[in-house]
Amino acid sequence: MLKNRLLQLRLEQLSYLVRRDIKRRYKDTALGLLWIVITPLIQSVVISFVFVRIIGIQSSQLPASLYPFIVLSGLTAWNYISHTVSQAMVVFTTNRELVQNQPVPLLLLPLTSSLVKLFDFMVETGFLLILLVIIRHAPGWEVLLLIPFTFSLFLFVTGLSFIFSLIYLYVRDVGHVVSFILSVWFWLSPIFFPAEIIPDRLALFNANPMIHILAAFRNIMLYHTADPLKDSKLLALSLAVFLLGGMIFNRYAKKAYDTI
Amino acid sequence: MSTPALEFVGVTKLYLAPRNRGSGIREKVYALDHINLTVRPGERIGIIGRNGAGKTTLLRAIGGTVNLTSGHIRRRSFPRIVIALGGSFLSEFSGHENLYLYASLLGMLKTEVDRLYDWIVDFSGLQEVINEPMRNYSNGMRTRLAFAIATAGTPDIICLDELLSTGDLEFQQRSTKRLVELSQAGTTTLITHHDLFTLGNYANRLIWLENGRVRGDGDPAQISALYKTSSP
Repeated sequence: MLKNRLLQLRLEQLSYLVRRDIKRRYKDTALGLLWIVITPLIQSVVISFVFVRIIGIQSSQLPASLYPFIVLSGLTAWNYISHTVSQAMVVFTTNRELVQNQPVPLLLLPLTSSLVKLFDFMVETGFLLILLVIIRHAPGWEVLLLIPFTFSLFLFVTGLSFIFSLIYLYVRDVGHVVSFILSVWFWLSPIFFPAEIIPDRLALFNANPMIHILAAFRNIMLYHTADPLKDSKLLALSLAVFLLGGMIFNRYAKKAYDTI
Repeated sequence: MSTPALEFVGVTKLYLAPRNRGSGIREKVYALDHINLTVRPGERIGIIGRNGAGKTTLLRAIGGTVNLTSGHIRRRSFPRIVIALGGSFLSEFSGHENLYLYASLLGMLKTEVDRLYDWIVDFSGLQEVINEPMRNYSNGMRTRLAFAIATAGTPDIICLDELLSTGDLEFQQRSTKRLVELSQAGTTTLITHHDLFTLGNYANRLIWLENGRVRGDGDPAQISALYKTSSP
């Protein structure tokens, strides 16, 4: 009975914190939630112009008119990962008052941060789907695969945010290191360009999980194909990252009260 | 004999603090030093002590937001801990929105808040402005709302940090009266304060903390007398 009450309370607290953070960002702004899609949309148009018209990069599988969608899908998945990791590092310091004074489990804070960014990801994905419907390139039944894909991505991102939220408390230099790693990771991932233009001799690229995440997302949204084996591998990887993050968090979280 | 509301067993919190400002040398400082206490249900406990005695750390430890060096605390139920009254309020949100968020952080379910909503708004006297953004509230209005949320219903255990002197005189009297009502209904209360007179009027047991240790524990009149005669 008491355990059920506690579980219900934690879920309600999580829900309040997520809604608080979503509302807080867009409250009093004229365009509200539209800001989630405006920035990546403008970025995609500008980047596509540079990559297609100036540099001359082409996709072997998609016409040049769809290039902005390669970029937009890349940015949608990338933004979820990079924004959550960046936010996770400051999640305790920005909620210091709450952490010190309210008996709320620390785990709720990186989880809140991941769920808030998941909301952004879902809005951006919905917007991408609407654009694909308008240009008559929408996925068919493959759209259902977005559910397991989003679940995999959520596990992966949340696992990372558990780890980085704690590391930052102990070593503040990590903030600078992670910014650097994210910028390198960004350029080593096929976000602005299709993965098929990476030469076969650079097999090491396959060690980058972002390649598999983007491939799974674009398979659904743009190529309208499914690869159950690769999708299962992605789910297994994400689950491993989530469990590892959860174990590390569980082991070291209590000490965080000393450093916040 | 009923189950204790709270039981402190060898509760210790040790910090490493710089010896002097800018000094690299750190020394051990006990915020809580082997505290052993039993709190019975319905007790009105006042915690007295000078700045840095460990009063707030003790309340935080009850809430579980202190990484204890050793010892443990047994809690009969989920306590409501109120430190920095309304500190989690957000100015850009309405009183209504903040009410639900703060009540949840204090451990109340939404169904409980729905049931107590009218009482909270009435007690705080904010009926006219409850849907206004909180940035339009004065400090007194924020305090009234936070106190009303914290004392709504019949919590099993409530811990308040330096809150008896908040708000105007009329509100101080109402808030003290509300805490007595809660105690009569069976709520266990722990209140920290720096003013002996205020605490002595309210508490039926006084605990005196000094340098993280329990220096005195018992009848308020007796402990007050000892505290007053101790050198600062």
